[in-house]
Amino acid sequence: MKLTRRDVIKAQAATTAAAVAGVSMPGAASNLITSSKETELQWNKAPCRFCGTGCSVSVATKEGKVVATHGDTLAPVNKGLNCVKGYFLAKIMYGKDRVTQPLLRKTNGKYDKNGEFTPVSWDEAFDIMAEKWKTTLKAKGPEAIGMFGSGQWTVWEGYAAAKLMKAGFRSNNIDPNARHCMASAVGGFMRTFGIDEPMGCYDDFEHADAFVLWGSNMAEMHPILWTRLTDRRLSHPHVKVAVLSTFEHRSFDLADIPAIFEPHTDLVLLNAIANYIIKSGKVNKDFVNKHVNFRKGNTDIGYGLRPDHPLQKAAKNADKAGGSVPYTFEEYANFVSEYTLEYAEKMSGVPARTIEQIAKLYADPKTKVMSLWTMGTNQHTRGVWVNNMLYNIHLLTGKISEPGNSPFSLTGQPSACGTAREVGTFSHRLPADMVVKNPKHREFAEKVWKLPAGTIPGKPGAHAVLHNRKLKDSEINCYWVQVNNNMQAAPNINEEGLPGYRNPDNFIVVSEAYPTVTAEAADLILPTAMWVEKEGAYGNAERRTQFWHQLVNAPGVAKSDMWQVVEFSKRFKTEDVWPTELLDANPSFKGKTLFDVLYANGQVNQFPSSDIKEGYENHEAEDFGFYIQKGLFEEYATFGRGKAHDLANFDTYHETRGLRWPVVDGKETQWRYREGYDPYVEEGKGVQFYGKPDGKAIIFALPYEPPAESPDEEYDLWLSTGRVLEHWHSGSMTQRVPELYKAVPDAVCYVHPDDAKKRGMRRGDEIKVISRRGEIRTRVETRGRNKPPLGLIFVPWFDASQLINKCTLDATDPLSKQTDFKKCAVKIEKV
Amino acid sequence: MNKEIHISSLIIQCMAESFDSVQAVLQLFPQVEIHAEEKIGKFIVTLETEGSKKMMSVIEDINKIPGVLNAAMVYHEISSEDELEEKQDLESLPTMAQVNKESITLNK
Repeated sequence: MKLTRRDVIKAQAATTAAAVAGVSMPGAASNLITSSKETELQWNKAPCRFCGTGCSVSVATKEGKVVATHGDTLAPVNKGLNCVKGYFLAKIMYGKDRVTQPLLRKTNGKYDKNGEFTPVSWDEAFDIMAEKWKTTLKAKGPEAIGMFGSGQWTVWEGYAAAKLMKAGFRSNNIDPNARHCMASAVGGFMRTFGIDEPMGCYDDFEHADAFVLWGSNMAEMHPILWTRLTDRRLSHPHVKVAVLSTFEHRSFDLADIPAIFEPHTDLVLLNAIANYIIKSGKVNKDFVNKHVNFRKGNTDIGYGLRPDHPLQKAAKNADKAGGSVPYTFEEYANFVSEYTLEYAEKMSGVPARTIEQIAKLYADPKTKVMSLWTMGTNQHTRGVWVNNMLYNIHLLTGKISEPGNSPFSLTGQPSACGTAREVGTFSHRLPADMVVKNPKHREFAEKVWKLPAGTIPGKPGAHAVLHNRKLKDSEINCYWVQVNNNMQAAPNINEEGLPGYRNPDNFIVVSEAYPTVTAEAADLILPTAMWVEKEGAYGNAERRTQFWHQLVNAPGVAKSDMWQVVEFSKRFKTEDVWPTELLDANPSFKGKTLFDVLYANGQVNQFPSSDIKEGYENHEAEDFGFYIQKGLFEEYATFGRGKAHDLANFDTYHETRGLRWPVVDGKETQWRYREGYDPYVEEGKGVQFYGKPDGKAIIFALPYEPPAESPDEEYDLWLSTGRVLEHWHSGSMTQRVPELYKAVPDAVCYVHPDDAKKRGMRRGDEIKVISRRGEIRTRVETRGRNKPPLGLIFVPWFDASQLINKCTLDATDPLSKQTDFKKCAVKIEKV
Repeated sequence: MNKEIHISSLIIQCMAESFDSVQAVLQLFPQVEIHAEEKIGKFIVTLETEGSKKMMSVIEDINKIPGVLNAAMVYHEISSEDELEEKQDLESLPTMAQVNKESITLNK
């Protein structure tokens, strides 16, 4: 039998898709596959570089280049599927404008803040950096230096950086861009459960009877998980999907219960649902009595603006935002009783009958409910509250910590969980949920790190938004940015971002793979090895830690962020950075470099390069002379082992498609806090929220409070920002993939057709979006995948030529310090 | 001229009640070939297009068919018009099971 190559490829394509979808293919075709060409390719696994879903990707290399990727058929997360971004993943490293060597702003051969970017050697780059850092440390101390990292850092990159900042430079001014993304989720977990990250996992998708999306557009932002959810809905007709959002989007196509609500009134809807559960007698009393405490949170907590802002001055509890007092069930029931369905309809615009339909999903004890949320909930001036209130309704009904009953906080970045949260690269954190404020936690960290008592400062450092304010105010003068594009991401960039970067008092370093707007605003750009150009580890939204090997070499002299941090540490002697008292009390540390003290400490350097699996390069190990990734990981893992954050040993992760922590006796944990699933639950307890000393989670009584800025007569529209399927975050990678760029080249402004008509605008017209802080030019879109209601516009933020963050407001949740990118007031005008 | 041809496969999910109408619309696309289907709302199709831009626009058009929830690409190969006409010996090709094993076994 002879076939053309066309037939063969098509049969292979169809067979692969059928296998992935679990569809049986008729006849002979299912035996066919592949061409002889494929045998020349070397296949390896790596987690995808983009979102927090954590799909595993099969990566093909040939002659030192990544040439193809496809969904990893053995991966439990994505079961062979990839979204369109994942499909073109191979191309992210090969943009024409890759940064391949350090670039320093110079005039006449000398560093000049206003000079042109000029290629320099690593030596020259580190020389000027070290000089600036040392001068600043001497003049103003450790609080005048800062570092802004990322939920895209690999586990050991974040760990090496946090160690250098917190223990080496003795500054807690390190924060990740996950502050813009997951801080409210963290705040919610810590406040309700005393321990971070979801109790459930993706297996919940195949067990739930109902899904409720709180502001999330999973169809575009988490397409692979959306495919799993869709599959469940299609193959089990009793399953219901409720989609709540401030505008209509692609996820509404699957919605049995659609609901568009007025921005910020999720606070009202959640209390109304709690009230409905109580009034209809559907509280799981046994569960609540055994496993729940009640508290009333402080109110009138402000908006995280500068202290001299009128809204901050007016807020009664701006400095006690996290406070709460004990409460009873009866008091709580009384507190939410004013949130009737009618009141909720009036406030939110969602019909009372629809709210009741959603409430019934939670109230019916036979319906297993999975709640899902991401940025709509977290990027919210009351984001921690909304997270708390989501747990409230799952705790009232006992629908938690078992297959299908799952409040699930989705993640935006590939290692927001694994690095930013678990390693603790936030300004207030240490690894494994420990915090710098707690003297016992500092003592523990100093012991693990074999450092003198008192090395780690106890005062939390500046958070992301405060970094920019302090740069503008000349309080932070040396600043290092890695793996993120904050000039395109951070709010109110004209007033609170750019002035700090270009402040003549400051020296700004940006480690990047591409000349992003952030890199262009810097004084020194360091070329970075990305994704499979280095060995790495990411942790996804379901607590799954995944590893990959270095598969190709980085271009030019580009090096990983971890290499950059560790190499830079060699430039400092303890005498340069530590106070005399500390050294006098611990003379054995005198005369040593930070590299000796932090990385050549007998632990990080304990594994020889010969431990690296044969056939893989490792550019860091080659330079440092030991298997540094393994050393960093094993030292880091000692923080969480035996403390409900157990990670498996290093080598195991290279052999698996990831494992979900806690990993105890070689076994991962799918559902936490439930006996039979979670080894940390004591026998006979059934359920134990062991993050809290008495094993009980907390239901918080919290009210509706208005947003920081709402539309008025002049600025008469809500602005919500967000993403599109084809581009990931600021587009620094996906805009360089020709297929993705061509699919969606420019951002547009989604407007309700009547709002456009009222202003004399037609689809495609050029317009200005104007807020009190800045403006951008864009084009009107009245059709397409997003359909805003009257009074709201949506502009995605992936487009560097349309910096919508000139318009956004730097108001944050006072608890989590996370910015609200989903609501501010704007007007639109025809150009 | 030897043109660049893109062949890819998609899993298309739709609401069960839209199955017939989605199927009818899919049959109108000259680039689309339906290989398998399930009445609960699933199609396995292949696409053949000239250039990647066309491929992306067909996928976008499929996503816009009323009732379609999601069109997920699973496989993608770039070939040329000449290559596609080459005859291949079926018996010499490995089976699905073999290739799956090869492509997912890590380098040991």
